[in-house]
Amino acid sequence: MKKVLAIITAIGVGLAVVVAYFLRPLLDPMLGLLLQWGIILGSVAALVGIINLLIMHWHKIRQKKEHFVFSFVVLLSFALSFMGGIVLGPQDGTYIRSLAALQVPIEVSLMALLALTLTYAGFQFFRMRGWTPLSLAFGISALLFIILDIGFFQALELPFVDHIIEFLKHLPLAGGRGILIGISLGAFLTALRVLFGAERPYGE
Amino acid sequence: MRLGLASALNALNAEDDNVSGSLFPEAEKDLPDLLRDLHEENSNDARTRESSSVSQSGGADEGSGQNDNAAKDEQPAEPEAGKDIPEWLKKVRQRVGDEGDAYGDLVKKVSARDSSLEEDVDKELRRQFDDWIGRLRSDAQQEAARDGFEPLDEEGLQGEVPAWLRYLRESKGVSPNLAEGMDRSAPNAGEKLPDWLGDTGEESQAATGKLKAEGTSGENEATQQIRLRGSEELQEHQPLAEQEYKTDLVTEPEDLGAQAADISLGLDDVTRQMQVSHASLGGATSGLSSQAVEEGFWEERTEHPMLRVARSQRSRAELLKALVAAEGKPAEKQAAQRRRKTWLFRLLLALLLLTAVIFPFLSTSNQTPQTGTLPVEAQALMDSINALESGSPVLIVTDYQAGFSAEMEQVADPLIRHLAQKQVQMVLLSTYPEGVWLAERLLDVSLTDDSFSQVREQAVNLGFLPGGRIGLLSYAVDAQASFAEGVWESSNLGNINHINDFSMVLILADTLDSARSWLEQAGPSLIDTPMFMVSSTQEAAMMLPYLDSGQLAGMLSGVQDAGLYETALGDTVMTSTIWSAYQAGLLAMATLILVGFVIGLESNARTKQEEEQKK
Repeated sequence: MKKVLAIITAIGVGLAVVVAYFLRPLLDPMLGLLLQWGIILGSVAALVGIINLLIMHWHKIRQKKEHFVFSFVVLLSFALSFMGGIVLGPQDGTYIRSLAALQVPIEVSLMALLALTLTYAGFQFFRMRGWTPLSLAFGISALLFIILDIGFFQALELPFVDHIIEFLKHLPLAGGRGILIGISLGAFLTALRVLFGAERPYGE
Repeated sequence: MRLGLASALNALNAEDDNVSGSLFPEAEKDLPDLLRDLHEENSNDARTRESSSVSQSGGADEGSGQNDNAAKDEQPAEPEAGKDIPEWLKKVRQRVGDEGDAYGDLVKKVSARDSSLEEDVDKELRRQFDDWIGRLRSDAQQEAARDGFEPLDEEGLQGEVPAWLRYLRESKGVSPNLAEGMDRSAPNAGEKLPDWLGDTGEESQAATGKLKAEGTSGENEATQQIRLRGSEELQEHQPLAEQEYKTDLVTEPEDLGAQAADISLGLDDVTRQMQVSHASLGGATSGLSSQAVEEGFWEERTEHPMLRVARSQRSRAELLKALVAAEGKPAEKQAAQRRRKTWLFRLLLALLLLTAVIFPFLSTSNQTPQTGTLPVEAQALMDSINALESGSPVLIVTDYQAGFSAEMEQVADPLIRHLAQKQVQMVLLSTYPEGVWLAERLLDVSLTDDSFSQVREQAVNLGFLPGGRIGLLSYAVDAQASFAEGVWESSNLGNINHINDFSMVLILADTLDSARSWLEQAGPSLIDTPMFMVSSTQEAAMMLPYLDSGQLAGMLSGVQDAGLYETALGDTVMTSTIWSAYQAGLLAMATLILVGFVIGLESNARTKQEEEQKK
């Protein structure tokens, strides 16, 4: 019975949202209400996830498992951020600058390291594999777009060169479009499976 | 037995005494012929001796109580009984008294003949066994001569232990003195060997010991020859040797010759297999240490004349030696060298890139504006901003992570300043939690000029929009309902009830996912409001289809387009600080990839060369 009830609810809500989406703005109030319910449920689920995460790290500390020090750091950071947001407010300048001073340098450093690693990987790719069709395609395309991005040829300000650069820059259009069509078809089929009850992401 | 017979006769006499003497002639008719003959001859002489023999037999029966009682019973009746004893019985009694024992001549003759026969068989067995041993000795000597070394005597064997055997004993903890001091002829010599060697040694000793036990009493040269090849060398061939030696030698004298021939043939096989036993030791020494095996091989090759190794076996031994020699140290050394080289190369790479990026910041000569033609999509964005009226509400979505903030802020910087120049009302929103303060930071970085202070004060940060894609659709359906009560009213956005009320929607996205969410969920709700995209360089290619289909009205992607946009605006702020370093970094990366490209060609040539060598 529970199983049937879940399937009926999922299919009913899904069909209602689809119908309301196509009958906008007539059914906007109903659509807005359903979406708000969905957001509230999602937020509660996120809250449960956060509590579960905190409990897990707390257990790690109590049982003194391996690397439990990191769990302590996680809990301490969470407590400081949470209390700062509660006391000062999420829009407070001091609070925002404090978070930015921590998070931005860390993430930017990781991105810089990624650039270095990718450069080294590109170098090793040829060294290990030699000249193969795949490595040649990768090398030529990488070199071409890096050189184009440097801007030497644009600086020449020659109309013929500009046309060529414009053409080359739009070459990824075909590949990008293919990827997007694939993503859209996959999402469409998944939605149909959920609406027909074949796919049950909400569980049995 | 004689006492028993005498008792029986006494009992018979007593019985006869009780019977009347008139009955005796009738009973006498039934006697056998022998007794009848005895009865007829010497009847009178026997009467006189009969009484004495009876008394002797009665005295001899004193030990037995029963006979004593019988004798006591008979004593009173003896005088009468001596008179009535028949002749045949008297002769029997006389004969028993004359003979020394009860065997008689027949038994004595049979015994004498048997003893004579036993002596003949012993001589024949001894002779055949000596012949067999002689054949064994001659075969062993011929085999030794054929193999190119002289047969050794016992002393020579004990003195000259092969190097490989000496080594094995040493490696297994048997002291040389102990090993050399072992009595090879002793049946229990194997007990002094190590466990692994002693087991098979004992079996060998048992085999040879059986030969000795079944054969003659003394040590013979054939068994010495078997042992002189070394009971240790027989380990691997033990089943064959044992099978041959276990032939029963004492079943029948007639089979001894054939069995001796079989044993001789078996010894030939054993001797032949001994010649390759050294080569087979490679497998037996697999559990030994690497250096020991290595030395054992070559000592054996150079010193021991018995070693005959096939070419394939020698190649296998050399391969094993190479493997043992290459074990451990060289591999670790190579790995350490490789790690050191990799670490050095990475260090050089990092230094090169850092130098390329940092050097333009230190140089003040290269602060020229970027030259080139602004892309069409960026030009469309610029035109749309130019068309905005003062005070127009513009929605700016900051959906990017902190890690991309450096690039995104550089790209968005000329746009924000352009919007500020147009005196528009900026409304900031984000579906990322960190986007809330990244939006504030973007305004702080871009609107540093005092002339933009009013715009900065009028900018509204709506904060975080929860719910992900559902939240976006909800925001597109009912903008005010997506936020908590009071937020919208306090934001001085009374004239905006719907996303379509904005004059422009500007999405700052670092990933395709977040860009797609806005384009697919909120895009269809935008009727008169154009949507523009500001993205990082890596995601620009994926935005092109939306641009091509008209879902995006324009786009600005990457530092290069931002520099061109800035140049078109007439500013050189970003160019003087970032652009040259960006170019130098890209140039260093292109150079490294090009070097890898060339090295790949060399790697190709080396691979082909190796394949040709293998062929």
